[in-house]
Amino acid sequence: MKPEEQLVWKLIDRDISKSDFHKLQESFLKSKDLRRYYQDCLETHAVLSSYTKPEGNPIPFPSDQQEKKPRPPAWLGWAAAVLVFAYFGLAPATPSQVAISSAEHPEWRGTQLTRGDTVPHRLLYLKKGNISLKFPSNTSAHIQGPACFQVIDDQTLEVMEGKLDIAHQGKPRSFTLLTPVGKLTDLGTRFEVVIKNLEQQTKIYTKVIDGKVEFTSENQNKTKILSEGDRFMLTGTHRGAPVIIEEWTDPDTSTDTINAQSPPGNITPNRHLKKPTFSAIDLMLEGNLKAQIKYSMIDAIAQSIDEKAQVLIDAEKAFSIGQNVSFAEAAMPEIEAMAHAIVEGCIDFSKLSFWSTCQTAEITWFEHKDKSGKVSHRVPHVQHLKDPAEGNRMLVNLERIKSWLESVHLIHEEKGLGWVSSFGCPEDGKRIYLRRENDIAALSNTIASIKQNLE
Amino acid sequence: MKENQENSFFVNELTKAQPKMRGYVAKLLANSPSTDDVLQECNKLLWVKRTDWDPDTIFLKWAYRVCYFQAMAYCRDKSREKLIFNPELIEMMREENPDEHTHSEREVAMEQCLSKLKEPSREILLERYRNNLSVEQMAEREGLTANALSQKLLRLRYKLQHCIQENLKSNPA
Repeated sequence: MKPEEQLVWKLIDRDISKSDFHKLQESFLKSKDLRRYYQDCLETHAVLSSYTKPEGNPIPFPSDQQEKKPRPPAWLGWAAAVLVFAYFGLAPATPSQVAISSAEHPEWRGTQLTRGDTVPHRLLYLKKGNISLKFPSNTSAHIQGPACFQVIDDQTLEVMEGKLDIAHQGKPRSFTLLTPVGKLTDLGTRFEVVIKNLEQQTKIYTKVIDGKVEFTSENQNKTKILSEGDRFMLTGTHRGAPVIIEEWTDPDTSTDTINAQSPPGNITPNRHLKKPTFSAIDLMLEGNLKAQIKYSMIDAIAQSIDEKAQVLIDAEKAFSIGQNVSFAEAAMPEIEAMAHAIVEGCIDFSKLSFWSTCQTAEITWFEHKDKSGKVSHRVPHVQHLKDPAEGNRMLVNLERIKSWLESVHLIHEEKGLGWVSSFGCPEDGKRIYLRRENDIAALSNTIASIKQNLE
Repeated sequence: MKENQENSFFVNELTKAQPKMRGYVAKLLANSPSTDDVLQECNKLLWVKRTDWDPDTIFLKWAYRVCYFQAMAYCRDKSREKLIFNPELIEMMREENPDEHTHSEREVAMEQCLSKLKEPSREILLERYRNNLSVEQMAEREGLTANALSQKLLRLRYKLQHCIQENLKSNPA
């Protein structure tokens, strides 16, 4: 950690001497990177504070008549705005008839609601888990945390952020979903929505599973009917502002679900257009020179191991059972040498990150279209894979080597300790047997450790 | 009805903008304990001036401008305080907006990074925030010197911060 970075944390803690403060101020004036670091640290500090104080009291919104009182501990001022909402009578007076019909490990901020509870007419923040809301309009809304939403009335749900799946079986137009950029009115259907609030705009990703949905941009007199199979991205700044509606197509992922954490890959664009000349790792490590150099070294080692392993794989394929010995038995010296080189070599493989030993992500492309609907440019994004692929085959080769070594060990057990000794000496055989046992344990630990290094 | 609808739009925008506004004010005020008070003043002013906002413009840009003037006013009033940035630096920071990741995204990234820390380290870090204990009080509880604990906390937060940034980089906003 650089001395200025230490001072940044001291400043955030307000535990900095006057001279250090001046020193840091001078450094801030000179370095944009340090100012960026300070900003990032402040955001982390805010997240840590709110994370450990989920029940934080909201800040009262000051009215003109109110005298300023000491501020109660709180993590975010945004609750203040919610109070404004209530103050101006935007919430209905009648009690809510919307209930939680199912709940899967829900973690809330500032409340505890579970299955069977009635949902109050106030802003709720679901930190984790999933819940389903049942509306009297015969609508169910499945919400996945993290999500921020409010049940406005028995027919209206407002969602600021999050991922949800709506199924409406009641009368058409008897359920409305309010989003930061517009209104989605259910015409008897099922659809998925992901709402992401970015710095300067909100993006709503919708996918209609069946039936129809009407999107309305208020004040703009803009209405669009979304039909079964349609996937649209709606971009705007707020419900009264102009909205850009863009279609997303992806012919081969009709059963996928939208991923709320990253821009939804499945409603991203035609995969046949993807011809990346770089890998997802290149994109993931963009701007991080140290990580790029580290990974290039790991990749080179992975290639070297793969070359050696490939020789044995080819030999195994060509090996004939009729030769009276098994492949593991015939290739025992090579297998043992390879395993030993890994567990006792100059590299500690257990420290490798999981992502550097296999392929955990792929490139997907977002298409941006111009006004005429033509693709103007494509932007690559990292899409994490549900099931990692072999990638540089480092992990898969380590597992293969371990498996071969275990086969050799099994044969040794079957044939007796003297088997591997040139002189049939059990003492020699025992030494080799124990060393191999250690190598198997070390390889197992290495593989387990890599699988846990999920940074 | 139309006014109610417009108010609803406005409240929605104001609510959405709160985490970013707080971050912006905290940055300009060197994370002063008065940050939330200034933010309240900003909210109040934004509400009073809500009709000045042109809905065809980006709300947050307008909100940042109001926050900036409120923060400058605070700095002017408290210029004798120990930790107040000079106007040149505030002016520089004014144009540098927070990144695009939302509070929720940062929280998810942080949870993943916290899970990678060893349990005792994680507990020390969270304890610091959970009970708002001073480093001295925590050091006494942990059987460490205040300086040793302070260094440990620095290292842990540095590590956590680095991990969050890496995590967010692999999940672009």
